[in-house]
Amino acid sequence: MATVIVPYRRPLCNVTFFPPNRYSRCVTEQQPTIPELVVRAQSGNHQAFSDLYEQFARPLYGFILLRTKHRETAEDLVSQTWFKAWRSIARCTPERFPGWLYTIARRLIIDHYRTSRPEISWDQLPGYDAGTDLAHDTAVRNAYDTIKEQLAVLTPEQREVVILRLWDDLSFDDIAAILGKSPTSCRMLMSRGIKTLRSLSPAFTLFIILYANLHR
Amino acid sequence: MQTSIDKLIEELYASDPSFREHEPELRALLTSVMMHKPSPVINEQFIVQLKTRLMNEQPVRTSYSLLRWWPAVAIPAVAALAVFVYPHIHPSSTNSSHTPLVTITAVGQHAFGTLASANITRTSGSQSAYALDAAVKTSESNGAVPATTTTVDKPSATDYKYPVFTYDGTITIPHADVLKRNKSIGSPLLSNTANLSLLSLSSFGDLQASQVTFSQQTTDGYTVYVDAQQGTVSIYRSVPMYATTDVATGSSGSVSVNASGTVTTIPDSTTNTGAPKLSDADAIAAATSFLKNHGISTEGYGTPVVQSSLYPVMMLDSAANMPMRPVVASVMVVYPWVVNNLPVYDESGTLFGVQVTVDASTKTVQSVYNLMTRTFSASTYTVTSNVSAIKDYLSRGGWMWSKLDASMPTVTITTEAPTQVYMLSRYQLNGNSDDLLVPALRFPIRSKDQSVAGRQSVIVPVIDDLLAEPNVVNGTGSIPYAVPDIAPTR
Repeated sequence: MATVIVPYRRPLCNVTFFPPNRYSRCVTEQQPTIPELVVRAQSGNHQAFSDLYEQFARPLYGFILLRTKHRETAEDLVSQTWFKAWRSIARCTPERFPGWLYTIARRLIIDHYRTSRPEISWDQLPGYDAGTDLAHDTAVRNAYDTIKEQLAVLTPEQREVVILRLWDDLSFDDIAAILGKSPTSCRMLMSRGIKTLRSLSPAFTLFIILYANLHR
Repeated sequence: MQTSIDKLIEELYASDPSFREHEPELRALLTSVMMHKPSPVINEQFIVQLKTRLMNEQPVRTSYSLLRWWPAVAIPAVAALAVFVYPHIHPSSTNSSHTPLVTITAVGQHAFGTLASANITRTSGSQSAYALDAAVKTSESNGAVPATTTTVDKPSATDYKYPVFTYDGTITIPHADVLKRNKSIGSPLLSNTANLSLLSLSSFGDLQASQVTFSQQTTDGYTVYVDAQQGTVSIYRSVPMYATTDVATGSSGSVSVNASGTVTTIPDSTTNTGAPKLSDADAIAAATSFLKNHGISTEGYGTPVVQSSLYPVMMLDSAANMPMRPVVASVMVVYPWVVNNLPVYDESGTLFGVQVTVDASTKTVQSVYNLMTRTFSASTYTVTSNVSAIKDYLSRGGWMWSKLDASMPTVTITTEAPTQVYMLSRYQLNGNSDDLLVPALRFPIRSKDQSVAGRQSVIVPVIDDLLAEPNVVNGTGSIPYAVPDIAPTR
């Protein structure tokens, strides 16, 4: 009698069992990405726009307040920005939402200052007297004033890119959308701005290193 | 989430590899700049309130997803729909179709509550016109000096004939939703930045203006009244001017009327035909120019028309002891509302729209009324199928007519074929006052019978709720007298 060896085949199953371990969790729905929220908001989903608002409301508030130095003006511009965004969300490319939102805000700020200040200048950045909540620490204040002096030597374009990247934490794609430049140009401006800061004063650089180490 | 220093450094290396030789400095520099970012205090209350306001707004938006990906299909499809779709009942208005700037959002059935006719209040501007005995009118036109110089005595009840309106043809009842006007006028009118010398408005947080009056500080300036709660704007001369013409001497001038309505300058005209000095075309041109100059769009309205009734002012020449003569002071231009390609009438049967009054002598605008938001919510209500109920409502002359008593003589007025319109009603419900556009039938009045002089049409709503309750109040209510071609003075 011949023996037929039938190879064992693992039964097909659409359920994979994992041994219980500390990584086993109830599977939760993955949080939607920003582009996904934008797409939902574009079809009228209030909750999606609400979620976008929650993510960007406070950073945008800070972005505008830092550039207007006046809380009531900032809140007015924040309101205008969000209402414009809500009313024209259909025209936004989902992947470009942050840049698009900040572009709206920036244009409103520029319009606000159009009569006297056609561009956002360093003077519009607040000091400690503009409602900031920084500690009233003399050393911190001194360091901030020093940085402010150093950043003031950058060209306006370099300064804008550096601040948008380091303080507002916007990507180069978003910065490019806001400033109407290419991402590559923005990277170059950032690079040149940092190079200028670094080469400006060795003593300043040393001060920064020491200060950073002291306050780590 | 704040980008890490490492990522920032990698970005810089990608732009300029020479940065690698200075990594410690770079790291320290970036760290320091980021550490000393000014951290503004976020007004959490404002953030929460703004979110609430945003979520309460329902902007009309179009989903562009289809158009983005299927333009070759979507555009021809839209064009085909535009060609092949047509309304069930053509509007009777001679006004041409227009690019609609009116938005309508559908909501649930009976969303505005039960429409009881008792909750409807009269819209402003409606004027009643009762029948007058021909003899009474003749005596007025002879220039007899009335008992008082500023009023016209009310004719007695026996002078009235109560009109009964009829229509003998076929009535086709249209079906349409009831529309409620949304009164949102947009962003707050006033920024919260105003700090008056007496107090700080900003200390109250998010203040919004409700009713605001702005006035120009010139003698012939305008006053603009904005009612943000009702979503309406009115514009009027701060000091009304009335014109007169001295036909005998050929000169013309203007007079002032003070706040109490007393004429402070008396013209010395001895005769006046009352003929208007302002042509319809000139009146419309002056009105349109004014609206355009002040950023008021005339798009979305029907073709502007001059209302059939003029607004004369009685002028008394006390020096010559001459009787009052009607002088045409102004002409009203109406930019008619058109909603869903249907005209809108008030309950008295007068065409409704933005009213621009133009001074006949100076050809300048005296006032603009009924400038309001035209966004609506639409709700389905039961349309009547009872033609008899419609005819009964018609016979009584529409909503705002009340019969004094059964002893009043009547006159039968035959109307023309009805057309579908919207009837504008102000509706009181739960303490709120809302403007409703109710689907209705308009029965035009062409009769020149003096008994209905001044009346344009009878409007009959076709909603069951509104037809179910009688609007006749026997023996109560005032009799609004009217001399058809002479309006009472103040």
